[in-house]
Amino acid sequence: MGTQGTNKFKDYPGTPRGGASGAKAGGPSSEDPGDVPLCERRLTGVPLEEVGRCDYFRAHSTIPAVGTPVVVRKKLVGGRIGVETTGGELIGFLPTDYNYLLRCMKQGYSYAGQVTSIAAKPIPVVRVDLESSK
Amino acid sequence: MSTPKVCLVGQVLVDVTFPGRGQEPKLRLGGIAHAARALWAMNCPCVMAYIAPEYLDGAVAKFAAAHGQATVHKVGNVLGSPNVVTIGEPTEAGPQGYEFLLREEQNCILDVQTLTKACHDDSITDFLVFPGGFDLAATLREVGKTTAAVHVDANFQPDDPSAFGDLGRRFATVILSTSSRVFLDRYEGKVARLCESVLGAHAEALLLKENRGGSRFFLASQPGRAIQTPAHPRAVQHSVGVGDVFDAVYVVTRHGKDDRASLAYSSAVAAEYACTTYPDDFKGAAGATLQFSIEEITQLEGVSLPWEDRPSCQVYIAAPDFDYVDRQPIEEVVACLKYHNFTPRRPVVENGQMGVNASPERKQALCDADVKLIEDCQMMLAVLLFDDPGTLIEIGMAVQRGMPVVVYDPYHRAENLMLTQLPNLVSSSLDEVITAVFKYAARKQTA
Repeated sequence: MGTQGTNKFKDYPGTPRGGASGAKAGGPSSEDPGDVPLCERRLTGVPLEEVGRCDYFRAHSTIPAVGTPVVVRKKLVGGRIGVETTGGELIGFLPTDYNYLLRCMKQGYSYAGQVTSIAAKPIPVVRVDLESSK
Repeated sequence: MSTPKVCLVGQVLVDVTFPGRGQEPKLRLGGIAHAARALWAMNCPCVMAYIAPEYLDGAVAKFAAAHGQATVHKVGNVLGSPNVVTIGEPTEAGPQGYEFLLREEQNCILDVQTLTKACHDDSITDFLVFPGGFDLAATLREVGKTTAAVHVDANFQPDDPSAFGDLGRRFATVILSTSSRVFLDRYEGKVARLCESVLGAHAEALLLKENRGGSRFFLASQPGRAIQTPAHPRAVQHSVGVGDVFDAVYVVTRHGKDDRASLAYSSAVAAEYACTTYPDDFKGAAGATLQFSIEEITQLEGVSLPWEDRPSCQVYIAAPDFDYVDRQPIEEVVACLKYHNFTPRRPVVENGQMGVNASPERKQALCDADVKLIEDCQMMLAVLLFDDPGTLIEIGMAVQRGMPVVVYDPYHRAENLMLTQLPNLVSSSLDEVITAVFKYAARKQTA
């Protein structure tokens, strides 16, 4: 009779990561067991919040086009993490599920990407893809 | 300001998590080891006054050496049980499914002499006691002789708050979670009753942790007021020991920081603990989080939804909830919502299931009743078992009404453009679904 797994404690400092490689698309995921550091995961299709109330929409009465380059602002805006154009116009906020990006930025990571989908009605919606760099 | 040094008192366990989906089970030291990891991550000197079966002594010594050379005192032995806890639902989307092997056979023998010796360390600023299974009265009598602040995480014991009296003075903090049986049974889930029983009589402060709904902190000196701290829920790897990490960060950061800031750091670091089982990742994340300015950490928006506010959030369960369908995913969702004190509404169960040859009048009455129920609810949680027209139409109705719509898609069936794009969330992860329910319910409360 054979046994498998569960034969030693595996969480001492210095424990190497598992074998999987490559980031999982689609934002925070409970399916990735941590093989890719959280801060380095690629985020796809992230829906920004409060788009209709942010600078870009208020200035242009529209939303940025698909393909518009974006960056994550390092300084909080009213307690939220903002996503802006490379010119500094605030487009919207990341959902609070992504609050961990703030500490990732404290650890030296930056996030940039582009607008990947938009919808003007019934409420303005902007989705972005983001890649980390350090 | 004194440099904190924390003595943890309680059992060391072995946590066995079954993550499912073919992933290998993970073994970790649990019990007070979770709080010890948090202290290590903060570079805070730690004393582990632990109780465990002998076979774990070597592992505890190795753990302590690897985590900042923590001082170790074995203050109790365990007979009759391996102190192994299996965890069936690691994310705590719903009931965690803990199984403490041979719990009823467990016999903890406290070594009071060693405990006394551990307590003689005058550099200890705080004791954090995790009662459960061992002689609490004798433990509190010894700890109470010190001049250190004493905090107790009373999730498991004591059931009767008069047992706190053995400390001989008031606790700095009594800590409880809304998921604990003590809170749900002894205090019937009523926060006011808990405050009345504990604050002032036994504790200077009461910390109530409310899972994905944040926490509240009550002071005996300021009755009727609470400091509310948001949670930072996200997709998690596990929920085991996350509350213990919250405790430890709070105990340390209250030295030199005000309560609001201390609690905010605790919440954020605890969220990081839930995201990984790699200690080095956690330490890096905790260190970076503690670098947030007080302005940043106290302003960082999260989710605040007090326990007693949740029943008023009625969640319409849109699903083929028929007796001829395998309804297990629906039952799981409903159990999770009830576990977190939400009010799930099941139209088919409440209004009835249409018969094969139902009359037009009967069909209309059922339709009207279901539509009325949607109007009564604040949120929709659709369970997509197959392409059920009723479920899909209800999703569309809710979206059109501006109602938050969360779709649980356990079988990965959602492909249609409207279905994937219009709801607030479509996910096959129950953890993500429940987290989204908290988020949108909290927004409804503050809207």
